[in-house]
Amino acid sequence: MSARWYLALALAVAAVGAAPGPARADRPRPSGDRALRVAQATPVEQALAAVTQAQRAVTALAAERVVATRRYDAELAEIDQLKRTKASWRRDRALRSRLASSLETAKALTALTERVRRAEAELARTKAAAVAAIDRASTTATPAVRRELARRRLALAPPAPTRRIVLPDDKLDPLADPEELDDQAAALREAEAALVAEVGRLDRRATRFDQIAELRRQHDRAESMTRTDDDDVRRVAVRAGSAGSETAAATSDAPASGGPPGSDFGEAGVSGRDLAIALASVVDARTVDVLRQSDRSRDPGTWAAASRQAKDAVAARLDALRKRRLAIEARARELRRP
Amino acid sequence: MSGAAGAVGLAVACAAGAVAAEPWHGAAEAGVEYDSNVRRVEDQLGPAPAPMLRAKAAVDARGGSVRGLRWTVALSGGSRAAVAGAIASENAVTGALDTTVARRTSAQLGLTARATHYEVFPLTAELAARAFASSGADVGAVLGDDGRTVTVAVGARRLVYKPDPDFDWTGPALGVALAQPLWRGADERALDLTAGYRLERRGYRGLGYDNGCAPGVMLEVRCFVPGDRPRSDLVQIVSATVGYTGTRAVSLGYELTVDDSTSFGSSFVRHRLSAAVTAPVVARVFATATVTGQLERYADPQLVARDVASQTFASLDDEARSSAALRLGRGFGRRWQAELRWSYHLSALGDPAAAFHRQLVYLGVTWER
Repeated sequence: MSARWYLALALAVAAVGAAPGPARADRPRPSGDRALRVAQATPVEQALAAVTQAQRAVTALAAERVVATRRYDAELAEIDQLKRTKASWRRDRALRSRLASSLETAKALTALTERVRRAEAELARTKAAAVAAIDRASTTATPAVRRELARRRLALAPPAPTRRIVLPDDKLDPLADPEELDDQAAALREAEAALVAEVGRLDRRATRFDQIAELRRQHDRAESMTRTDDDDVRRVAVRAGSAGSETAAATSDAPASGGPPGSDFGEAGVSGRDLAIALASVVDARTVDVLRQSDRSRDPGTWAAASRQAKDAVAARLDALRKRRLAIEARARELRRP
Repeated sequence: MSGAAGAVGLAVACAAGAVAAEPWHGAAEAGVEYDSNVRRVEDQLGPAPAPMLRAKAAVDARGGSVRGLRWTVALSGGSRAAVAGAIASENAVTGALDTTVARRTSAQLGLTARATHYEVFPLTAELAARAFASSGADVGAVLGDDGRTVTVAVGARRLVYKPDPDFDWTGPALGVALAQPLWRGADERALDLTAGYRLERRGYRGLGYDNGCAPGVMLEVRCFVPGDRPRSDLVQIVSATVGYTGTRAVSLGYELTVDDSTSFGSSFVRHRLSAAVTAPVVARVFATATVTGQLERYADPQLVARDVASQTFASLDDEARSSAALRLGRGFGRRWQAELRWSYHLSALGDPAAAFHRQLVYLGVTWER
């Protein structure tokens, strides 16, 4: 079975789990009927298709820009060459023609760059949406399907968000015209999408760490109880008249000095540091510190608490951002009113 | 003992004051236990069963930021006593104090100073074979880098064995511990290694034994003759545990203890292998199965009484103790947990004179904040 078929099967199972009841109508069919497939694609498939489409658009525009850049460079070289030749009426005419042509090319290149930027933004948005769809499907998927979804998710959103999330200016400029306000609102919408994805990620992280913490707590407790059974053989040399063996000292309960002193300097790097970098301009300094410090702990409960605190902070920031955007959009509408 | 109790009381009062001023963490547990061999004796010595009551409480607090110094104080106390029956020699109360002061000198290096005390107070005047006090103090360095942590500590340790002062010992100790992540997978699955090495030079208060019998002569009690020098042991413990955490928690550990003693009949090598698996089963109940195998090899033969009156003895060159345990635990809310545990212990090798069996069934609750 090819990877594509496997993925289709995995997504189908995930969709069944994620959306029971009425949503079963979304179940994909790995058949060749494209129209039917589009009509009945799962949210994950739809999101992935959108990502593919956006990726194609970015690739095509990037290729176009490369061609335009080459043409522009060639035109500039030609102009430079002409400038070096002996002045004449014919040369001036050719130079004017080339300059006009290069100006057109420059304008086209600028427009193309802007289109590439928009296409890249659209790609980022579709990726965030696909990640969110995968996350929703993962909550009820079987372990095998979840692994496949995780693999897809990894391709869409590599872990370790060392990329810092930079929020756009959310202040309402009273002198801005409606178009500028529209641009500002669009930028804020993109930031909101990023923050929504971040809230989801932090929530999953906290939940997972809670599970790990409980599992380890149970495991450690069982091992601790085994130690307190105190069944070690502790024979020492017999003495005349003694009972043959003596217990020198039961030390299994005693704290052994020399062990690690608690979790003061525990292991680092469960991406709390990366999260701190990513969220440095999103959440308050105290939350950033908590995330950084959680790396020093070995306790998954600490990681979970830090993730929850960060999630709450991001959610609060998201809420504030959303309110500002709504105010900006309202202002733009007001300005457009005759 | 009153002096020690006073010191413990003072420490408790100081720690309580500190705890009252800082954020703290506490835990308590209590339960009833059926113990088929309360005195933990060989079968031929007549194991006696008894229902036991177990309770324990612990509290720790940490804080401080003066010149980068952080302190941790941990206090715990517990008791184990027979609810019914004639056996009272195992009734005891325990108390422990653990204080650490740490200072991080750089992102990778931290320095620590630590003092610990653990004591078992017997509740009866009878000879309590497990009554002792263990104290230690050390200074150490903690190096951390990319998830790896290495701890090195040097200090001293003292043990007071209450039934017989000859077994009291004092000596320097060196400890090295390593925590190393081996692998990190998707969905936060992890494989970790913890390893340790511990070296102790134990200088005993009592004299060591010499072999008073001629070579080749069958070992008897009279062969153990007190020598003219105090007993001294060099104890080395090497351990390694690999732990996996995913949908299940699995750990596999090995520990090697080598006790090289100047006293005849006291040297031994111990191998201990343990494995444990924890998994959620149903209705938020977690089950943990633990298996432990332990083999002791004695440098000199050990004499074990064949009869209650200790008139005849068997000689052992090696001995094995194994155990299996199954624990079920379920949390209620964020702080409470109920647990049920069964464990079985037996000797698997050696002379029938050393045959040992013990069974425990425990039902209890825990609380923590």
